[in-house]
Amino acid sequence: MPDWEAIIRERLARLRLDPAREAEIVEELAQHLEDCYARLLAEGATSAEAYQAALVELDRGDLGDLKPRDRGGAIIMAPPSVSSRTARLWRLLTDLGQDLRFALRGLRKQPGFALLAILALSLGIGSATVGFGVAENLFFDPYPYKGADRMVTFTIRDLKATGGGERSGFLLSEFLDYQRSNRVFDDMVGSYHDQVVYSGQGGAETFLGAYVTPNTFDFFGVSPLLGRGITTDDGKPGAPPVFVMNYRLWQERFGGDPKILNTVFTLNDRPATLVGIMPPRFQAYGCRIWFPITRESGPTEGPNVLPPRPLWILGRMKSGVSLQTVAADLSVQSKQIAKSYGKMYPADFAVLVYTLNDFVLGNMKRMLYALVAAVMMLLLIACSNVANLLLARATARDREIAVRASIGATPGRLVRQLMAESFVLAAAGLIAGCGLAYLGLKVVVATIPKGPFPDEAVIGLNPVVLSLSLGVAFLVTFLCGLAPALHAVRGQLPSRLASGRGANEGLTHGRFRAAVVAGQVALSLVLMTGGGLMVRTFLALRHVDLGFDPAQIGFAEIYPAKAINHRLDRQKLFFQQVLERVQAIPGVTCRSLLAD
Amino acid sequence: MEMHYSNPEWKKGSAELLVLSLLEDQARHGYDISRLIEARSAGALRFHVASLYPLLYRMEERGWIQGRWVEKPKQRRRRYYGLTPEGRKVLVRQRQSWQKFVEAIRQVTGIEHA
Repeated sequence: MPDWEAIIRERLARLRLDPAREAEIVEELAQHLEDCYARLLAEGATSAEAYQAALVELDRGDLGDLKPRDRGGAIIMAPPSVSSRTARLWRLLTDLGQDLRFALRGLRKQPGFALLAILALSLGIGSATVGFGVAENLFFDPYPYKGADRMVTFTIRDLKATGGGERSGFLLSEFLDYQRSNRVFDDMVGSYHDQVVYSGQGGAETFLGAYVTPNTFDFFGVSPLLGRGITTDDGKPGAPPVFVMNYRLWQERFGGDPKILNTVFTLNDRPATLVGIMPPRFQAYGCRIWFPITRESGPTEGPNVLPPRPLWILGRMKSGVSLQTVAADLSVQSKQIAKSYGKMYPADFAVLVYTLNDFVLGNMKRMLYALVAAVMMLLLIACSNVANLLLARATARDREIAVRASIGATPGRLVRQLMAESFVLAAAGLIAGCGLAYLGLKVVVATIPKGPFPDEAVIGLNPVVLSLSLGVAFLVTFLCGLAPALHAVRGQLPSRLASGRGANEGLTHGRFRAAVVAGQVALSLVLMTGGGLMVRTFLALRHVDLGFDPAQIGFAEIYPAKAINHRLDRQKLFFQQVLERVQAIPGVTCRSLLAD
Repeated sequence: MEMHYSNPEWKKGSAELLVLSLLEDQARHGYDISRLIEARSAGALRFHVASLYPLLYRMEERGWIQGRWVEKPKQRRRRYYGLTPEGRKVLVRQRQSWQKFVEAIRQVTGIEHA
């Protein structure tokens, strides 16, 4: 049965009738034409003859007379703005609804084809979503901190040194000099890492801690889960020693007990009060506990005192200030500050500025780009697979398409119909793909090494990632549906009904499918080569000759308490005793010390 | 409408009369009206969709007929047209004037009814 409603709407479009009125007229006239068509068929006419005869009904006379007139005879037309647009939109939605229903019916008839296509697309979309999920969370939203995208760090690079020569650590006094002369940052903070020995009832344990300048918690702008963060008062001389704990340590070591707040812990042989517990995503400096840097926590000078620990500086750029401006300003400042620090600054140096994320991710960023490129290729392969399947199906449906064209379907309508099929497949692929991506991201999070990635990043599905996947689904609809749709409307459609597809068309069509297959093979080769190189690199790293047999070597990290750790003479004595005892163990043939 | 009158006013007037006459006894839908006109005139008179419905809508606007959607089980709904009281008056007037007109023609031309 021809789509009489669509045909009537086409003819009425120029009249710009009121949408509600137009809908009634379309319904009534379509009913009339259906009756005509059915009667003619019953009387023995062919479908084409019946169609032509019914069309004559519509085209003899002037449908322009349907325009309502006012009393003076002037034609009343719907306002050319909203109502006609609404009518067009309504028509479009109705047609789309029909197309989608038809597509669903068609796919239900071929469940094997539909399942295969959906499986291919779900794998493509799922892997693309995993790639987006990892990249989006790591590139665009890794930190929960205030103005994280404006956070930068800087290093001093010796321009004459070969193979690097970059210093990222600064003395406390040097940090204070930069802070005083700052013009480009809202604020600056400094920190250094240290292993902290916790002496509890069950013995000693070590946690990675960070000593931070007292303005650090204000700088990051994250409210504590319990208690408070470190404040500037905590950094004043004579302030009682305090510390803040991260969520993971609180949960894993202390069972999430809120009563431990405001209790005194023995850390590095000194009492310190726990004043706050931070929320799960606050992982500044990747540490378990944070202490304020005070005058007391900084080491004093002396012949047996270890050199002071350098601070890593982080600044938040003022709004509107660019990375280049920061680099230029720090370059000027550093030249002035360098005069007070003698050999710490080389004769010829430059200040290099990095965004926080670039500094943390480093070379991993390139790997992530490669990952996104790889999953996009995978998606393209899936698309070309499905496009090929759809193309084969469209070829098999040539006759059906020709019949539809002969009874009034316009090329636009046919294209839309075929695109609707690929849309249905893409939508199903999207749903299944998101499910796969949800599981895939869980596997990725469980297996990727933590080191190179920010601890704060929460890799998972979020509205941005899902929006990207939705965009991918539309892209898939277009990529998969376009080839079969163009194939369907090429040439004289009605003539195919009588003659079938010509040899030339078949040849062209075959060439197109061959090109799609060639593209698939090319993309697969690129992926396989990349994957093969990765495996080769991994194997090479596993079998690199270290010059010794690592299977026979034991390794232990020892963090003596602060009283020993910060005195060079006591440290030497302590480790000497450790070495002697280790050597006395039966079976130990050699021992060595490596100091950080 | 395929009619052999040269004067469009005659065509218009006669078409209205035909429709009003068919609706005198019962309400009918558009397809029914067009089929009845064709059948009862033995194919001499035919309404096409593009002529019939503008006429029906115009007559409805004038208040001569009134359309209403009727739904029946297992069928698409259809719009049935029935005469209004005003339409009945118009039908009476039009019948009288057509009778006078036909009589005048007959007297001049000597044409007799078959």
